[in-house]
Amino acid sequence: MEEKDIIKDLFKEKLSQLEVPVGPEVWTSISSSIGAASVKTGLSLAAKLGLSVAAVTLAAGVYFILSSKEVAKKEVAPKSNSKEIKQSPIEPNAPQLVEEKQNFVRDKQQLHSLFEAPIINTSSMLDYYPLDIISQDLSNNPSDNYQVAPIEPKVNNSLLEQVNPVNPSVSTGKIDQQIAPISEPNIAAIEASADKLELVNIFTPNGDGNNDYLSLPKSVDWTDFSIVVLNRDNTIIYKSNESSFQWDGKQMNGSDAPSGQYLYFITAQSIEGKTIHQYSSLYIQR
Amino acid sequence: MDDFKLVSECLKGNSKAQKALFERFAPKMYAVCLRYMKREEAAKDVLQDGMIKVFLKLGDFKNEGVLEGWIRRVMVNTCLDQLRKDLKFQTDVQLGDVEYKLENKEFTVETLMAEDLLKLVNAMPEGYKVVFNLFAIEGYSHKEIADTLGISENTSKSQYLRARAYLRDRIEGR
Repeated sequence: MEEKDIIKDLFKEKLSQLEVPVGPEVWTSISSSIGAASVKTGLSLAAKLGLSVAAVTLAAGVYFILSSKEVAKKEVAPKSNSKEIKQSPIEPNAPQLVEEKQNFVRDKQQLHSLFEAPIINTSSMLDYYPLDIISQDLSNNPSDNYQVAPIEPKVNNSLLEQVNPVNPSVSTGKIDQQIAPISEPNIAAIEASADKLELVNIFTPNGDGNNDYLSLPKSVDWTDFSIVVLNRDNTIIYKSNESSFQWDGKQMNGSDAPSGQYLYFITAQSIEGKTIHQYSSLYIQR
Repeated sequence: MDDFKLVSECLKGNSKAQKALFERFAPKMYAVCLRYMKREEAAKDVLQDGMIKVFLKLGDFKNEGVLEGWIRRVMVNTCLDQLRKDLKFQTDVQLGDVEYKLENKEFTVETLMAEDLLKLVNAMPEGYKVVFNLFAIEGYSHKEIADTLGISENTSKSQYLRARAYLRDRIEGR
């Protein structure tokens, strides 16, 4: 290159030694694969395990039968073997984990495909815009530990990114991280304009006075309004035709919707005759 | 434990050493995978496949050169293999494949974080992303790239220049 290649230097400097943390589940499945491969080399993991168990048992037996001093020598050998045992119980989990992930991704895609048609028409409007959240005291709801694999609730990014099933936290997400955005002020400081809504993607109907209801800002008058909330089985758990709705997280059968991932969409016409058709994922955290 | 000792212990089947080797190199290798694979899930899969390959072929590493470099090569090759396989399923486009653009226009080069750069690299079109990764970051020559990817040296060069222009546009915010 004639000129000094700044771009190359920059990327090389910053990225060539970059480290990104890796979850422990990767090692779990790798170690099981290596274990399986060692069958070829003669000694299967199961055999090793059997041997070491036998050795430990033998040592234990010897320990009880013989008294004091002679034992010390013989005990040394099994000690190193016993460590191998620790490894193996983890292995069966690995395939399950993967399967769970896949199932979840598939679920999301199915759910999503339901709404594909409207999305295409209005994709330019698919942004996130938090609704107004009303603070009010509720009677105490029992806290619910039920967990569905959560999606990271992003408030600002494009919807497309949100639905992307790739997000690693989809399968490993921790609730603590997920609820962080609740307290962010951007939920309240929203203006609704006549042609798009800022949809929230999380609320917490737990009666603590913060974000207990899902509702719309009052600043725009809508005609032909409807909101529908679906759970992960694509069952409608709440709907309303009132733009002044306030959803407290109760399903239509009267029970509280458990914490987890939901989807809702809104169709409405403004007074000026503009139609909106938007949807968003919704995370309920109790 | 130094690399040589670690390798010989791994070859003996010492599972503790294997885990130590994984933990020493996996974070770096994950970053490598993230640069080649579009989706994090895919990167994780490739990391897993690549590390398994590393363990199975550890016997081929004759303690010539640096262990990290060797592992990195294995990993890059695994990424390239996977990308080749993925070509067959290209119709399967993810909704999330939107271009990543830095929002702030006043970025200076110095303030860019490695993570931002990683995202930029990741958002590049497949064609020149691989060439850019191999040339700029892995330090392959255009000749090597041409041989690995089965393209001509000139293609490699022009793809790289295109990638660089793309990145410069993104960074300088136009």
